[in-house]
Amino acid sequence: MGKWNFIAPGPEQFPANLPSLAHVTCLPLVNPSPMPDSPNDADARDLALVARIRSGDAAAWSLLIREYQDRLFGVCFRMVRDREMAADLTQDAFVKVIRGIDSFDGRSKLSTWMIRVTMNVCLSKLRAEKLRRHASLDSIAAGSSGDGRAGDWEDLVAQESRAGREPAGTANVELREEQERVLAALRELDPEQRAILILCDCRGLPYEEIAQVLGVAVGTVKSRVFRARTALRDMVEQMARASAPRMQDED
Amino acid sequence: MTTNPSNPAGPAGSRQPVSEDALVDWIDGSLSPQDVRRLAAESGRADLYDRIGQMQRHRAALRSLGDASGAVRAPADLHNRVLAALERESLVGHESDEILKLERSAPTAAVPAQLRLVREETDDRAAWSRRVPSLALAAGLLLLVAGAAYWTTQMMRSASPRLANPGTTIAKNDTNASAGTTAAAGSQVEQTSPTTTLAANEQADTMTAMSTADASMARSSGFAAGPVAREVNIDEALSLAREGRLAIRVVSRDLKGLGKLEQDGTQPREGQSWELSRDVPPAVLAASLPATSEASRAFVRASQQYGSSAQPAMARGPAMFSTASLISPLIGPGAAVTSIAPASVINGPSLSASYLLDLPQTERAFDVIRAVLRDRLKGEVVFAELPDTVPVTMTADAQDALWWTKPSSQWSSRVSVPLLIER
Repeated sequence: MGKWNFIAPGPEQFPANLPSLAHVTCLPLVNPSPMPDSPNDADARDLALVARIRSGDAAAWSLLIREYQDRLFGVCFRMVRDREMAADLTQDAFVKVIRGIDSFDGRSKLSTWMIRVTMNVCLSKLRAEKLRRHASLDSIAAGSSGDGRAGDWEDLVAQESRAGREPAGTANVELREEQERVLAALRELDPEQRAILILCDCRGLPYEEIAQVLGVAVGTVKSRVFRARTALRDMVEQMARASAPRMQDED
Repeated sequence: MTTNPSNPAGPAGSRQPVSEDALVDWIDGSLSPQDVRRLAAESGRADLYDRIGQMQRHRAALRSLGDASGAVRAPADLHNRVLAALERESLVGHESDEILKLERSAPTAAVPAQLRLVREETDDRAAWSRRVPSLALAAGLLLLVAGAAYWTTQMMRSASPRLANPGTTIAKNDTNASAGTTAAAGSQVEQTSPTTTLAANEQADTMTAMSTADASMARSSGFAAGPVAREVNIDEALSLAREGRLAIRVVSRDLKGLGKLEQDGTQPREGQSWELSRDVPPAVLAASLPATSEASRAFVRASQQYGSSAQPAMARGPAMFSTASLISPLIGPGAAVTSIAPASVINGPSLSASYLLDLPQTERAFDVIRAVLRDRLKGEVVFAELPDTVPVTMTADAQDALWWTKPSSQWSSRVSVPLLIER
């Protein structure tokens, strides 16, 4: 299994002086048209945005944030399961992206590069959290409930299900239950496995793009995806076995 | 093509390695039914369909969350938060190195999670441990300096009685009339501790020499008129003390309480704010005395000539030698302070003793010391303005260095003021 070679902006590539934001106003998107862009249009727009940021146009920051905040926040939220923490991580990720925009070489899509930086921020945060949790007896006592912030996650699942994007009726209920089980298992996986499932299955990124995000070959990505899915399946089964006696007791 | 020898697990007997790529394609639904059947047959696992079916359901559940279509919305204020953070960054500068380090670090799935945790913990420790040597060096230097200051002070204090006690004794023994007779000094020595008797005798002889040379000048100088230009109140006294232009004069007919005063001053009790030092540098004493006073000049000359060394004793011949008198100026801290005269040794017509008074620079402290002097010496206490600045140098004291260990009420600065006791 190869390494995840995230290439993030180095300090020497940061803009020397970031301009002040005092004059920044919320400008409309570059392309406010409701018609979806073709991939080429989106890429060209991203490159133009990058050029403006590199030239010191602070107004372009606002455009970039508005364009990508939902995507990056979604990645962070799936990773950490807490809206407030996800917002903090998204903020950090944007700061890194804009500060390190000079290191974006255009070989990958801007969105791919931004997700890469964001994923790094999340994984760093999760590692630090895990360290703290290991050091805390309280967290150990908390047991399988994780960090106790699962409420956000489950609320969101319920909210998403209520949104009616899926077929109504029995199938909807089953799907919702399946979502809850899978999400519960997902948050018990290692952060790296969770990350690749979020990129692949939640965000639906193609394997080639995931390979760019992770900086590995496509075959390696597929291997990791398969192993992560296997781990997820095992976790779902393990949690189902654990909850079965509890349900019998309740009956 | 990577293979997965362990998964999907099944109890089948004729198991063949199955390509993970192919299994992923199966889960993703990108294999044709023929390829699926072929793969299942090759694997020889009966439960492969079930397991792949589970994974397909899980994948579908994750896809149905709708992340790709924007189901998860960022908080409304995120945009402004990011802009604020960017502005803060641009004003303050780049983020800390720690965050940069995190950004650069590659999440390596190949490394076991536990090992990565250990590495990160080790990194933090390493960052901390890099600072440890400099911190330890700073702490060591601080301890060294504090220790040196403390022991220097202690050694100087321990040396002081050897130099000053005899003089003080003689000063207390009013030498106006006796003008340096050995008998007079000897009678006073009886009141002092036995350990200082020998030195007292030597010092008495010293003063005999001084007195015979300068007593007449001292008498004729009118020293009793005092060194001061005018008397000042406490407020003025405080500001004059800050400038080094204050002396405290005590004029008393009865100096019986001087011994007790000196004892209290040199061995302050807990809570006592003032201290007395018998080591008054000649320059300080000279500046505290009137410029025209011949007595002051005579005293300074005498103290510089005989004040703190055994030279006078040696000059008087072998009969006056003693081990203590020979060794004391050569060994120990006393040797380092030989320029300090036993300043309280005054042979003038009315100046009986002099000290350096160390006290907080507060009105209350000045009030207290005035009351104490009045009480002990039954005389008049005058805060006297000096025409010139007295070159008082505060002695470095370990206690001073530890001012922060005292209650905040004691954090006022201190001043040293010449205290002149006159009969």
